[in-house]
Amino acid sequence: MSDELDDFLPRDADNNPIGLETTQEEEAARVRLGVVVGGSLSKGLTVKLDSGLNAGQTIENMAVGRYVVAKGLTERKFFSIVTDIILDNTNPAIEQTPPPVSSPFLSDVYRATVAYGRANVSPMLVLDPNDKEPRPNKTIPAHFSPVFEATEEDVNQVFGEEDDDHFHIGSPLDMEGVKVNLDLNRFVERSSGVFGKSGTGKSFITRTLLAAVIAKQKASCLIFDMHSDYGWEITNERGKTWKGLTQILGNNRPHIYTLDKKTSLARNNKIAGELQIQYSDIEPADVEMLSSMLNLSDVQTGALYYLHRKLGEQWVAKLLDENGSPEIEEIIEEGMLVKGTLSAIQRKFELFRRMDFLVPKSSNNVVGEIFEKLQRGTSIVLEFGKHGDNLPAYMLVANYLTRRVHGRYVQAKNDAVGSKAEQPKPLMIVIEEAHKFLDPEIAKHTIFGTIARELRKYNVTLLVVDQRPSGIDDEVMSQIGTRVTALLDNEADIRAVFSGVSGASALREVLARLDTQQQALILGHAVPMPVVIRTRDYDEELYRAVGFLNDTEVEEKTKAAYDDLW
Amino acid sequence: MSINIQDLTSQIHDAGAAIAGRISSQGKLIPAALAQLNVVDQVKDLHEKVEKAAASKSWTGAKPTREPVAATYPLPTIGQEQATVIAVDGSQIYPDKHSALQYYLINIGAFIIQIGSGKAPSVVKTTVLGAGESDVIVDGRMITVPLVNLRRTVAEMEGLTELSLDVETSTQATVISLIDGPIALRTQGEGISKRETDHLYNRHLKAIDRLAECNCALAGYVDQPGGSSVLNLLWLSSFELDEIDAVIEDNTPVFGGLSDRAVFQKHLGPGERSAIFETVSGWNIPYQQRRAPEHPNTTHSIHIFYLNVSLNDSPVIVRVEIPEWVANVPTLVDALHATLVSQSQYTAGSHYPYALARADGEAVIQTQDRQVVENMLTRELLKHNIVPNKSAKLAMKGKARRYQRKGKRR
Amino acid sequence: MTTAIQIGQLLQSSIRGFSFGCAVPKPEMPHFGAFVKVPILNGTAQAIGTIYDIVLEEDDLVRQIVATPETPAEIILDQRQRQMPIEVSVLTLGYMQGTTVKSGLPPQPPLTLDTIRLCESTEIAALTNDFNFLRLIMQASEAPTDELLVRVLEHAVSVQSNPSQYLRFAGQYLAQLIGNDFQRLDTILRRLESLL
Repeated sequence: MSDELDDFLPRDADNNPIGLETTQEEEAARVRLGVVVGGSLSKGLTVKLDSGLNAGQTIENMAVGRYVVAKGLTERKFFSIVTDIILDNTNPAIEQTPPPVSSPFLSDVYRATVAYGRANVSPMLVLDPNDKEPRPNKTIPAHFSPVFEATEEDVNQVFGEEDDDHFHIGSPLDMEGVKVNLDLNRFVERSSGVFGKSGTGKSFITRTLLAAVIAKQKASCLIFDMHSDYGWEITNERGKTWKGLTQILGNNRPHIYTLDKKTSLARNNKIAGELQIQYSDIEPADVEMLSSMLNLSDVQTGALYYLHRKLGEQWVAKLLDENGSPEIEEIIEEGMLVKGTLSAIQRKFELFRRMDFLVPKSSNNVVGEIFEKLQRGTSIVLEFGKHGDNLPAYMLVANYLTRRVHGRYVQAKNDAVGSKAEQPKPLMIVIEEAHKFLDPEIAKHTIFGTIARELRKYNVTLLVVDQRPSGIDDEVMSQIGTRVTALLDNEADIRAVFSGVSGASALREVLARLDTQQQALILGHAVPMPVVIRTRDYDEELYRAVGFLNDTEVEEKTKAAYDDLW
Repeated sequence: MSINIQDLTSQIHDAGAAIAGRISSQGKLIPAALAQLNVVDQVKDLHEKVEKAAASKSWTGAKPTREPVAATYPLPTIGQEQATVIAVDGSQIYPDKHSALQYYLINIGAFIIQIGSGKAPSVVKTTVLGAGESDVIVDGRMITVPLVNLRRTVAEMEGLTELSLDVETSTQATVISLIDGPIALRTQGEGISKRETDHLYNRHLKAIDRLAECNCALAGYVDQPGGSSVLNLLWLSSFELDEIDAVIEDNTPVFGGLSDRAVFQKHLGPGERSAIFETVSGWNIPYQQRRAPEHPNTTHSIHIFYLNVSLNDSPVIVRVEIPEWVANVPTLVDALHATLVSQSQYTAGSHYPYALARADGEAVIQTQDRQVVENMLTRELLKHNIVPNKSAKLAMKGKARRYQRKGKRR
Repeated sequence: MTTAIQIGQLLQSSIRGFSFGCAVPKPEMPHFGAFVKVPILNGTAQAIGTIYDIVLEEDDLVRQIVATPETPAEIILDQRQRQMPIEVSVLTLGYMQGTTVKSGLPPQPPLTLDTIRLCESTEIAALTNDFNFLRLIMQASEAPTDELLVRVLEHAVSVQSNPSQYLRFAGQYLAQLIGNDFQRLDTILRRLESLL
């Protein structure tokens, strides 16, 4: 006797069962999940799940985020992602009188018929047998198209081959043999974001992305490394260590600058230099961004520009001078500023005294040095050391440096346009706690908002790393081309991540159900479709993929180079 | 529908009026007949008048016996407890001259019940197929319906005899051997050869002989009887002896065509029987001439009495026919009388003796039975490479045809 | 010419069903829900159906006896053993040509007075391996469909090697047929469960 209900169904003239779809031979190898019964392009497809051999098992074997393929009438495969799983029935009466637990027979029968599983499925791409590349889907499969589990072959077809432009960043869930490859050119073409609540592995993901971008020389990176996560070795609380970018990237290794030489050296970091900022180099615009943090009122913020104009380059030094200065007395006497305002500003500037990288006088020109290196294709990691927990310091420095580097890029770009000189090397600026920089209050008039909005006009893009994407200005968020998102559980943050993404509602369930570790949803510019991945292990294999050589290999390579030379 | 309803309507109207008129006029004659019945036993020369009429050979009627003509006999209180009743009935398939299959079939059903025994009654069925050359070709021509009827009646009697003898040997109780309808064969003017008639009479009388030998109470049970032999007697009795010849010659129905049943409905009380009469008729002669074995000076001559089998105020009159050797034994008559009345109580409404009703049910041939027989015959013929050729006429008629039970005179 | 499994003769027929007559009591008396077959197409094929009604034809005698008080024991005994004609109604579910069994209605009805026989278990298995017969039963307005269905499945399942799976699939097929009438479906399924 047969094991399939199909074999008991009435037959048509060709001996095919009437009432259920014919299973084609070519599909026999695939695991059929169900059949498309409704839906729309905007809201996704409704799939009635097959009951499975063991009635109901298809439902339990389903998972949100899993890939499925709806096989259309026209040989097109609609590559889709499962976004929700629902228990449904053909007759609501069964909800009032469910079969008794003592009756497996009734349950078995109902689970295969009156009660059934439904899955909401978002079609993402169309795999046309005549096209090599998957295309965005502009239609949906016809009614009753069978839906199968996606095979590794399907997924590979979507995410392409790994090469110099495509970097393997992980595998789809339950498909460890399949590589999801990020299109690096597209990744750096626009600003990108890495999101996720704390402890979800944002910095590992970011490190992987940076390693790829730097190793494949897609852009120079300027990394404001708040907690020393990127440049050198990282150790977790259990003592396990991972190598930093500078250690694994060989000839492309980024140079580490520090604001806290003592700490960096204590970590045995190979640092390229120490960043010190002269008081005289600080401009009101550098401070303005801290206004909310310093609790500066609008009047006080406006006063900064007045003070700068009135006091000149040394305005910060003068404001911080405990002995006071005649110019300040003058300002008050002239009545240009209320004393209270000035005192408030002075009080708030006290903060700068604790930032020991701010010095009255420095001989080096680190900004120029960094710009030069970035232009040569060398990435920079700026370590904050002990200042890492000092958010105003982080913001001040990031803003200070970015404004100046950006200014030079604008100049270089304009020069290049005018004289047909060389284009500036693409630059990707990496900031953490990005919502502080891109708060809707200030995003419109800070350098980061400008960079995000101007796209790639001056070859400068952002990589924002943040745990509170809801705090980021909507307009900026909408410019984030590629979003890599680990688990988020705040509804506002989830909404923010999906802002400006069509069909996003379907993906929300997926995002809210990610594991806390090593899982991420990638959507946007650099992937053909949103994809949930188990991120690639940050391990020896990755090191080697980005050019890491161990000591022996370095020796051999050096020797070979030496031999070649002579 | 193939009949002309308009034509029929007016004819039915006329017929209804005629029937109503006749019933009404007959109703007026019943008191006259009853009045004559009340005085008939005082009529002088009654015996001579009947003898004279009987001698004429053209008069038919009831001849008084020892019992006074007007006497009535109440339901006996004894005789029914230990009786064994054997009832026989038959039916047949008549030959069809349009059919390629020439055959007839007689089906005899018998029912045997031992009253008061608590034992389950039994049923015996016998089916005789007449399909051989000698069966269906009689005297050089196709067998006729009257001949099949005769053969069936003889087969019924023979069957009754066999069963009665079997039962008689196993019990001491009175055996009542019942046949549905009249006992005697009647063959006047039906074109059956003397040889065939003699042969059948011989078998019939022989069967009755054997019943007489074992003293079974043989009776023919005629439901809803239509005869008027007792009325003929009353009519005869109302004339003088010298008027008898004229009366015999006059063929007009007596008492306006009234039946004995109509008179006895008024005359017999619940469960009562009439006096026993001997039947005077041409068809009784063979039976009058046959001496009954074991019964000295007695013949098989058919005697009758009327019986009201109803025990309530609505009389149900039947005619019971018995041979002389039964009529002469009061215990057999009483047993018969009591048994028939009691048997008729189980079939409320029809008052038809249960045993006969059952025999009838066993004998009846259903429509599909006929087809089964013909299928079997056809198959048998096919085995011999003979394809029966159905005539077109039968094919036309065959569709919704029904084969009724034998049409008995009652 | 009769064989042990012959149970009666056809009285009337149509494509959808037929009826036949036989007498009681018979040891092999047909049962409600039993599978029977009858020749069609000049005996080149057999229509297969299931018995959905058995009617004891109206009987004057019984009616008269019923109306009588104090019926003697002999007469009661007699009625019990009496061969009463019965009419058996059959719903056609399929037909068979050679060894091929097809579900659905046959091309022609059987002819009157053909002989009805009980189906062999192999024939039942062949017919019921295709659930079309369930649909035909459910659509039969003349039959007590729900009761019939349970009895027919009881017969069908008895010739299956994996009865529980067979019943489960049958239940699923029924649920597809009458899922909109949940009360009815549930009642039938609970009956089917009791067959396990």
